[in-house]
Amino acid sequence: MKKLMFSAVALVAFSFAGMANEVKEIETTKSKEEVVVVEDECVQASFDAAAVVIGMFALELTPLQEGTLILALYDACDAGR
Amino acid sequence: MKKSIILLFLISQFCFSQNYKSIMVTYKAVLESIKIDPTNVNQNDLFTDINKSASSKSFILKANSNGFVFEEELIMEEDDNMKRVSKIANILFSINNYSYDKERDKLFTITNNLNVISNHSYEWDLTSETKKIDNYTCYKATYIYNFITTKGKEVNRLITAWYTPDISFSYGPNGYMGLPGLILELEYDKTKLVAKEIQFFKEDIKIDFPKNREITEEEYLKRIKIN
Repeated sequence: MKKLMFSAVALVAFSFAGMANEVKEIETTKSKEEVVVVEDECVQASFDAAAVVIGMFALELTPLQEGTLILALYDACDAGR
Repeated sequence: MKKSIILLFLISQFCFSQNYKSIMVTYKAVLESIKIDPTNVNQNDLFTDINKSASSKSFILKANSNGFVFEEELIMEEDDNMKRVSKIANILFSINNYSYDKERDKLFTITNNLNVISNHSYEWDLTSETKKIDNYTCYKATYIYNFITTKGKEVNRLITAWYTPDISFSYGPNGYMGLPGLILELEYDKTKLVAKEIQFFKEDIKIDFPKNREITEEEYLKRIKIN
C-alpha cells in the first residue's frame, strides 16, 4: 500500500515537473499607454510671484533665500487651490 | 565698608554670570515696514499681512556645550495662512533658522525640513566703539557679506554686530557667530535683532537639534532648479 501511494505521488510530481519543461508560445500584444503630463500651474506662478516681490521691493536675496521664497510662495499657491 | 560690600556684590554677580553652561536668549526683531502702494490692489493684502507678522517677531537662541539652535518663537494662535505669511516675511528680511554642531564645526540653515550646510567663516572687523545694551558693555564689529544674486548682481551687505565679552558664547542671532562674546544686537539692511532676555543655566540644557537630511547649498538649489 505504501509503495502504491509513493508511486502515485511520484507520478504526479514528475508529471508536474515534466509540464514545467514545456515551452508554450504565448501571444502578447503591446498596449499603448497614453502618458498625460499635467502642468502644475503653481510652479510657474511661484517663480513669477517671487520675481514680482523681488522687483517691487528691490530685494537682494542670496540664491538660497530666493529658492526658499519660491517654495514658500508655491505653498501659498497650493493652499489656495 | 560700603565700597567693599558693593565690590563684593559686583564680583559675586560676575562669578555667577560666568558659572553657566547654557544660555537661552530671546531676540526681538525690529523690521522696517514694507511700503504699501495703494494702487497695487492684488498684493496689498499679502503685504499688509507681512507687515503685521513683521511687527511681532521674536527669535530664540539656545546654546549649550554641543552648539546652538536659532529659531523663530512660534505664535500658537497663528492660523496656517499667517504661518505661511510669517515664513515669507522672514525671507524678505533675510532671517533664517539655524543650528550649529560644535563637534563637527558645521552651521546649517534649516529650511523646508532640510539642513543646508552654510558658510560660517566671517571676517569680522573689530572696533573699539562701545555701547551699553541691558547693562552689558558691548563692542561693535562689522562684516561685509558678499554674494551674487541669481540675476548676477554682486551685493556687498554691511552687517553690524554688538557683542559682549561678558557672556562667553561666540554665537549670535541669524547664524552670525565667531566674535569674542555673545552678539546682543545685529543689524543689516532693513533688519535689526536685539536681545531682550537672557537666561543662564548652570547645567547643559536640552536642545532639539534638527535631525533633517544634510545637503549642500548647491544640491538645494538644484532641487528647486534655480541655478
